[in-house]
Amino acid sequence: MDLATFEIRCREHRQSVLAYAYTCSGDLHLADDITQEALLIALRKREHYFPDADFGAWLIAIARNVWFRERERRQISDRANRYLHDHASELFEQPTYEPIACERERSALRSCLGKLGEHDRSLILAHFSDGLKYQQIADRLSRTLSWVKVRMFRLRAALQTCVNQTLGAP
Amino acid sequence: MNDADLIAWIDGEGTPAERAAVETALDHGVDLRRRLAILLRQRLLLAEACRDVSQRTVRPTSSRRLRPASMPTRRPLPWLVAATLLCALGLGAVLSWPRPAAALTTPTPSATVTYLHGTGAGSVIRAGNRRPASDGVMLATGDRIEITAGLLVIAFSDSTQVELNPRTRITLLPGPGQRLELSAGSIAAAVRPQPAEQPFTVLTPTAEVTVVGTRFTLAVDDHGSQLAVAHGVVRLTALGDGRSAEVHAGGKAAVASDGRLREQPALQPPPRLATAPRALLPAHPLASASVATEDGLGVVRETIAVSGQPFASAMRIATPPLAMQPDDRGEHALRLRIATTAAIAVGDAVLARLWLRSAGPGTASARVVFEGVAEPHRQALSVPLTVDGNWRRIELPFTANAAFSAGEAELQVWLGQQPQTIDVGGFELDHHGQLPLTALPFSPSYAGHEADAPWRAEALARLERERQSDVLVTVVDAAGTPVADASVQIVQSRGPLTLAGGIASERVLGTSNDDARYRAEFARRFTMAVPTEALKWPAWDNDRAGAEAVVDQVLRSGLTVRGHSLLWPDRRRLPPAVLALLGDPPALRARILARCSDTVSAFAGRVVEWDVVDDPYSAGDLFDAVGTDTLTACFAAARRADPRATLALACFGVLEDGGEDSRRQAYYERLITDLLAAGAPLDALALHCHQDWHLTPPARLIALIDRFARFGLPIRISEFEVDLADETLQADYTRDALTALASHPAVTMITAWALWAGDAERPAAALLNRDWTPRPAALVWDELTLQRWRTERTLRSDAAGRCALRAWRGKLRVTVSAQGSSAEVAVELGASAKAVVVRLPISP
Repeated sequence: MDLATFEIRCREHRQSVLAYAYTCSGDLHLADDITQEALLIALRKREHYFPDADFGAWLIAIARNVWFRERERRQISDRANRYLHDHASELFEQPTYEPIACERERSALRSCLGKLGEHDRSLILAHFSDGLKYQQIADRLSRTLSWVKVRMFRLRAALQTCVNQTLGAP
Repeated sequence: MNDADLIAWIDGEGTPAERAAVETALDHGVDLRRRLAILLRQRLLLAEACRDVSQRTVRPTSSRRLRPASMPTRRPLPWLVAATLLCALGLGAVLSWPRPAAALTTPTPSATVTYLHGTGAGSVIRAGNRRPASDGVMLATGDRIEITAGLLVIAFSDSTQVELNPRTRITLLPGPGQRLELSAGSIAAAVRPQPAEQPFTVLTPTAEVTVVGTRFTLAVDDHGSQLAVAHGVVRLTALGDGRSAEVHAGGKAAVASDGRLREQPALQPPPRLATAPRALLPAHPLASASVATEDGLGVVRETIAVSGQPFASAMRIATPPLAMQPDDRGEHALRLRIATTAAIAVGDAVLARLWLRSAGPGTASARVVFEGVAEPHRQALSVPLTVDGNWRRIELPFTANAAFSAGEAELQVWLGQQPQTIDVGGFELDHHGQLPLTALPFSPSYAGHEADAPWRAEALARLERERQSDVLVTVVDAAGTPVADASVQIVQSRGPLTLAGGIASERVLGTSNDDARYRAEFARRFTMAVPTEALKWPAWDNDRAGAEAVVDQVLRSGLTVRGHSLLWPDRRRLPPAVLALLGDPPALRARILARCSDTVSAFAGRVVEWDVVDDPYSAGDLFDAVGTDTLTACFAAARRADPRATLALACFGVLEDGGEDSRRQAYYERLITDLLAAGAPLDALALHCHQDWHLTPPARLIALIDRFARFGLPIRISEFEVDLADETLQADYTRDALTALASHPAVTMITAWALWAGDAERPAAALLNRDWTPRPAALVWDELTLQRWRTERTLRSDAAGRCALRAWRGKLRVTVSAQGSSAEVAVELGASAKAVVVRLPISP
């Protein structure tokens, strides 16, 4: 594969690799680093890539090794369970997201986040930005764990509905 | 397995059994795995969107704090030197912020403790060093504060507070008194009464504002400086031409960019409405209304026809039970919202009208709110209501405290208080321009004002039945023989109720003529003093010697002292060092309990009664952190510190707001029940009674006292004041409220909170004008407490040496004289009749 084509393929799959890295680390910054490292390694080792092989699965495999190394080096816990690792290729090699489409969806999400009630927005941000686990959120709000779980699901569903409406998607 | 389990699994949550169930389902479901792949990507996008939102905006206000103590510092947004519109009354809520970073330097702090509250983003610049303007930062003279977003409040040790709006730049200047320089943006200030020689001063590039004690807003822009006064009097001096103007409540003044005084303040109320009001709602408000729960669940609503009312249709809304899992403060979980269709400016007078009735069994509760759609959701109106099955017309006047374009504000009805069905209709929202509220076609009133109101005769009869007892005096000579025709004088030395007054430290210790006059007027009316600030936690931490001096001086003047208060758990009222412990619950609890025991110990034997906790409803996340059992522990600590002191729970909002805040009333009922069940040494209940235009009818006052009297504890009316510009109505209500309250046997004390307009936080509520002339309400107060509820009679003994009368309970001085001799006895008159024998030292 020539370099230009290789770079294009990497760009197409970058979001999938990032999603895998974020699922493993739970940290966007670290996920970015892992993704960059994985793509650099892929670039350096592109001669080892067989054209008939699944490109996405190949990148995910590289990213997994990068993650395991970082996890060991930083002594941090793995957010992804064994099932996700074992099925990572299948789960994260799906049709790629175009950068423009990703940005449109992110923009819609930001707008929809703004439409949430302040308590619900705080709950979402507490989990995604502050890294609080459900039990920590439940403790701080004096709620039950099951309440947080149901609430988190409802809010994600409401956000996706809002995003679909914003983008004109079904 | 359900969808919520899948989301939780994706988030790394769930029990082992739940995770296993999800994985089993994934193993057997190709479609589920495809869906999982999509959800994993969506999760990444959501995380990225949250990161963007966190970086760009201030986290919204929440009474329940989610964020952990240590958080990365936000980058302040670039600030713009631009004017913002005036903001009116009220102070922003205090939010959680990270613990402040270590001080860059250790400057000499200002003489008064000054610190920041709020969620604003900005900087504090000191000696050229910049640090985040975060909650709890201690300020010093010379500090410059630049606010870029959100709300921040500078709190001074005397409870003066200055609210800083976005894009504001302010500097703390050296004294005398508190001096600020406002170089850009706008502030809203609530200033405690200041000594004449140390006024509160704000400088702008073109003007100087001198404040003695008031509420005002001040803004600076390219056109100059604009001042609007809500309460009190403010002196504005134009730095260009040196002209000054005193701006009274309701007035405005401005200084142009060239420093010349531009307008004369309105010293008299402006003429009444000459033009028709402008509607702020669509022609068919209900058709435009949205009704939704916060979680997006559907709400049962229908349009119903209405007859016999000035509107033809209404909306019937059924609040779904259990759908929102509302907490004690979750009224807004279900809201009816109608957006405005016209612009509104700061200071505009607005009158909202609507009709409500309960459509289900019993009463229904609602809260009418006017607020901005976008954050910080500034509210100009928030009124709780309780309605029965009859249509009730609601009229709510308010002043806009922010500018909104069409669609940027909403009239809302919050309905999430409880499962209920309520009918709403007849919405009107009229904009009356820049007028004081007294000019609106609206007059406060209250049910039971009429002379023949049923409650009145019942209350007067009960007053006599519960506050008077029979006294039989028998006069005898040295041999015990009855003395006829002796003069028997009965004078009340202590009345049936304890009458107390709130008093500021400056009035106790001050040496001015006004201070001396204040003490004289105070001693004439009250037997107990309640220091309004000196014993509160921030003041106690700052100036123990001052607090001791206040208490000792009051005692020397022959009055008793009631302590107010050990713990007021509103975040704005706590010392910064205590707020810093919110992330350490055990340390916070220990600090709270130490405060209770140390303070009560210090005043054991001197302070006879304490408000141990005041307004716990406002506690929010404080009790989340330490647990409500801390309240019980506070009472226990106070009891151990002084077993003789009476310990009270102070409750705000039970008797106020027309007596219609049913959620707050229910909260206190539950709290009192829980405290007593936990064995808290609770000796009395103190119910605030701050009345304004939303007057609580006298019959409702009695009903509420009945409700809380069932706990069997004596009830103090702890902060009685009537804040009305209409002095006739103020006097009428003062008379009726005092009669109603005094008629209930559970009430043992009434505390007047605003004696003098020159001192009061709400001067319109004071009994005495600034020039010491009495207002009609003062004449009512004096007539009832100093004359009508006192016995002062002179009788003659009959042939059997006896005379009988019905006297007011309390303490009486009986002086008997005959044949050139006299004798005097003191009589404690309680619920039972009293027979007193007075022996004259005369020979038979």
